[in-house]
Amino acid sequence: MKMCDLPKDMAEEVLCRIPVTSLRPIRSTCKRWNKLSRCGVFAKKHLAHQAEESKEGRLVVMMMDYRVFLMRFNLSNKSCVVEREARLIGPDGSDQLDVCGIFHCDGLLLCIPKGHSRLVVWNPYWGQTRWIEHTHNCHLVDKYRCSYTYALGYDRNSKSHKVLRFIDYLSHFVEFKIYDFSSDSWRIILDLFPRTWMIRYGERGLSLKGNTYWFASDTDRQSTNGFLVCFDFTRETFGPPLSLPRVASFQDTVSLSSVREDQLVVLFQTADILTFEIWISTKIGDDPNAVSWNNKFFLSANIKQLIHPQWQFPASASFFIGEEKKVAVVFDKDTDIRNPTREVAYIIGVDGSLKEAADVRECADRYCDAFLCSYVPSLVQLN
Amino acid sequence: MSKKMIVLKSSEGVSFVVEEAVARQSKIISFLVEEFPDRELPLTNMTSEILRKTIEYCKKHVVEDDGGGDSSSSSSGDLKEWDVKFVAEIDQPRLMDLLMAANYLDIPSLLDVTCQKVADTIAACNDEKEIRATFNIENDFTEEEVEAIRMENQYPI
Repeated sequence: MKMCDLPKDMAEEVLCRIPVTSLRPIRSTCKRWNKLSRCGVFAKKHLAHQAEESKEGRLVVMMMDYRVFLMRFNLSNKSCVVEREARLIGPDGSDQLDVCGIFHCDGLLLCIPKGHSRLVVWNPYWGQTRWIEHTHNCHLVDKYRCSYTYALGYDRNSKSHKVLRFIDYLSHFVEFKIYDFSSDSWRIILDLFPRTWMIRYGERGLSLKGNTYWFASDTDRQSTNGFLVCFDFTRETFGPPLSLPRVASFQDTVSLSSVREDQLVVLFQTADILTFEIWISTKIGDDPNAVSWNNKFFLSANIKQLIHPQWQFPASASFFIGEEKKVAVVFDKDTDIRNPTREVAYIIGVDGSLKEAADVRECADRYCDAFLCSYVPSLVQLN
Repeated sequence: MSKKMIVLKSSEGVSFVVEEAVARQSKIISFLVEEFPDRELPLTNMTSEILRKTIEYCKKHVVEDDGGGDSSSSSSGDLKEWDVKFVAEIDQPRLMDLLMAANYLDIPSLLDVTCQKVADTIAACNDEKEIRATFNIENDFTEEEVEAIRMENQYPI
């Protein structure tokens, strides 16, 4: 029997086992496969298989040198292997679009093109995109040499997605705006004040269950106290400060990740680089204003000994954890501090050992940190 | 106690005598054995070659009940390795036949390994041209359709 003679249900059984990185060639092979791979029933089955596979490998979207890649990191063996890699082709139909920021929520990627002219939200699974026009306050942005911070979330009642764009340059330039997919329009949020904290520029938020969490710190100059804040996309406001499992100041590296889409993971490295810890929260419920943490850290390590005596991960270090494999994977440059040329995945075990420093790929810009986020495919329709 | 044997007959009329426990991994055979005990079971759409392969797989995967609870004849790691080798040695048309047989006889684990093998072969191809060549699939898109797909499909992974 030939592949093309397989009945539809059997072709479906085969194709639902392909990695998402092979979707594009599948759709371009023949009419039958193109049609089959676009059917909702097939997609559900396909994603169920992907979820099964993700126990062994983690799908990650990586932005580097203004390009976006999809990769799978396989932690199943003793070493970490970048198994499959696909380039995400730019929303202008070519690969010429320069992307300077990405944000993941619910299988959607918000891409911020260089120049910030238009934003694009994209579901790579369906190949759908949605362009979002927005205006800038160029005068103030230039004056304070600041830049917008973005987040993507959704309203838990209507399931409608929203983009948050803000500048938090306290007492000089503060602006919080929301774009609502259902009305296709921007509006300013005014009732966020007064606050006694700020999200510093460069902090990367993390969306979980449609809301975005950030590391924030007191604006009071006497205090360096840091905590989390959560932007509730349903109520369109920030909740109260949420305590972290340990004391952190704004000079520390504090970075967020998630497990199973329902638990927060936070990475700490103190500014004196003596402490490096990763903590996991308990399950995040529907209330975005409550986070509690497991009693004990997931991992603690001596980075000075493991990697380099002066090693400080970037302020918003990209990382993920493999709970079953008892490791954390933290991304940074290679240890040639003066002239790094490679992006490296540092794999640290819960026993505090460095399992491996796996080479990921060459980087063009030594000053520009690569950014990675976990990608969980979803069937959200954009139009 | 001697093991109970059953007879399976291929489309060519060749009879295979198999331990019942081995054959019962097929949910269909399991059902038929209960409905028609002591009867030869004709599998009219399975060739002897494919039936032999299927039995080989079932023999390896049979879970022996030795009175002290279930114990598989091999560890799961060894079995996985054996499965990989098993499907690697089969050529493509026969792999498709085996896949159909696994579906027909309702042997979920065999269906899984055969489908996974085909999926892995597809994933190993660099592009759609290589997939077509590997599986002998005709490109039935018109020029316009290719362009349309390229345009609407410009962003997927």
